[in-house]
Amino acid sequence: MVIHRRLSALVLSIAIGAPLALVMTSTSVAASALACEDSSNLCLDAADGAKWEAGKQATVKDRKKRSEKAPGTLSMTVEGGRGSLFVNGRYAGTAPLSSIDVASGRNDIQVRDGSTVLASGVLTVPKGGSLDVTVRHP
Amino acid sequence: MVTILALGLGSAPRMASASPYGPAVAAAGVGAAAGVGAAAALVAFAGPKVTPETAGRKRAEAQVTGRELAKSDPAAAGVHYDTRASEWGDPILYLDAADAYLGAAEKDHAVAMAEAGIERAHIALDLLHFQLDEASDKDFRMVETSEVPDLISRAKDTIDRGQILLEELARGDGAEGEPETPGREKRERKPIATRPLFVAGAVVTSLGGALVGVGVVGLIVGAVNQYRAEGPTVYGTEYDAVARKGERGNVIAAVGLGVGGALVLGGAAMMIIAKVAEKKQGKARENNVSVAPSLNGVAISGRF
Repeated sequence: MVIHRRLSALVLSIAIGAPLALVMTSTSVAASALACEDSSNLCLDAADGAKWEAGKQATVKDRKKRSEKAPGTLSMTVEGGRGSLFVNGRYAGTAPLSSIDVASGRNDIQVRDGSTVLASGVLTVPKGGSLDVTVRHP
Repeated sequence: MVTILALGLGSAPRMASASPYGPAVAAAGVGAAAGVGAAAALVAFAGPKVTPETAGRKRAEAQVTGRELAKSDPAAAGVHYDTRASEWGDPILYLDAADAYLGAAEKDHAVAMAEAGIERAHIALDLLHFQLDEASDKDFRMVETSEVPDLISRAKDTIDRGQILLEELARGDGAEGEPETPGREKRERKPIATRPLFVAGAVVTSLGGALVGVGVVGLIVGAVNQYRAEGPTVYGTEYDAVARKGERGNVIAAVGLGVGGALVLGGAAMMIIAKVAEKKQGKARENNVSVAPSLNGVAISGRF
């Protein structure tokens, strides 16, 4: 009888606890996916070989090494506001952006909202890589 | 099911090949069309040199068509300017698009148009401020740098105008010369709750059917007793009892058939009204398709 009761309690706790745990885990994952805490205001969901260097500028050598034949793709969202993306000195679109082809290699990136520069630096795009960028609007 | 589609303006391959500025400029605009299914088409590559003169020539062509459209349909003019602006990343055409959308918002009292106009002016501001930044490509100039401060002022004025318009629309102010008279507003009909009406109709019909059944039983009872009363061996107190039973049966038949029939008819009417209203409301939802500019192109919302 006692064993029976304990088993029931165990089943009940699993039934209640498992969904609760799942909900809590998914909530924390969603929260971490949304919040960009980086001091450069840009968070990179990095593919293999992708790299973000805030405040840097591509060199002449980097420009020559860029390859448009094997580009990567870039998606961008801006948290808490709006912003336009400029890649290698030219306008590439206004957020939200989905899968823009970007040359592989080191690209100069700037995201701005009017006169405010939200993020600026060098983004290394791997060949065929798919990058998700989240920019925080301060 | 309500679906919202975001359509990118133009197709990227067309822009990439047709743009005189090469894929990079096409990309500039296409980037704004970050919508559904445009994934592989968007590019942000370097392209040939662009000067304010070459950009100005192309812009002038777009403006001729835009001005013609603006006379009759400012929203269409806005979409036209928007498309051309996004192909080139041209701040002046974005400002023209903003003006056209605000004109459409004033004309149609459309909040979405006002918001689209404000956003286009913001994009123009991004482009103009970036031109003043050292990071911008010196071989890619849509306007002379000396023109930038005036264009920034124009963009800010447009945004201010858009904000005022949005506030007016939020307050429900009418356009100039068309003051809204609250008394003349068309009252919206409350939609009929068709399902409960249908269920109620079915219940009433069933009840009526049952009463009709009772009425039929009453008829039978009346007929049987009539037959018994006519028998040669029935007379005296027995005849009276049979006659009473027969009368009772007749009363039951009259009430049952009368009330039951009325309920059956009423219930059937309720069910028919419910079905007709459901069809009408479904059609109204299907017809409620709206097209409005969005940040990424044109948004079509409705029931598909």
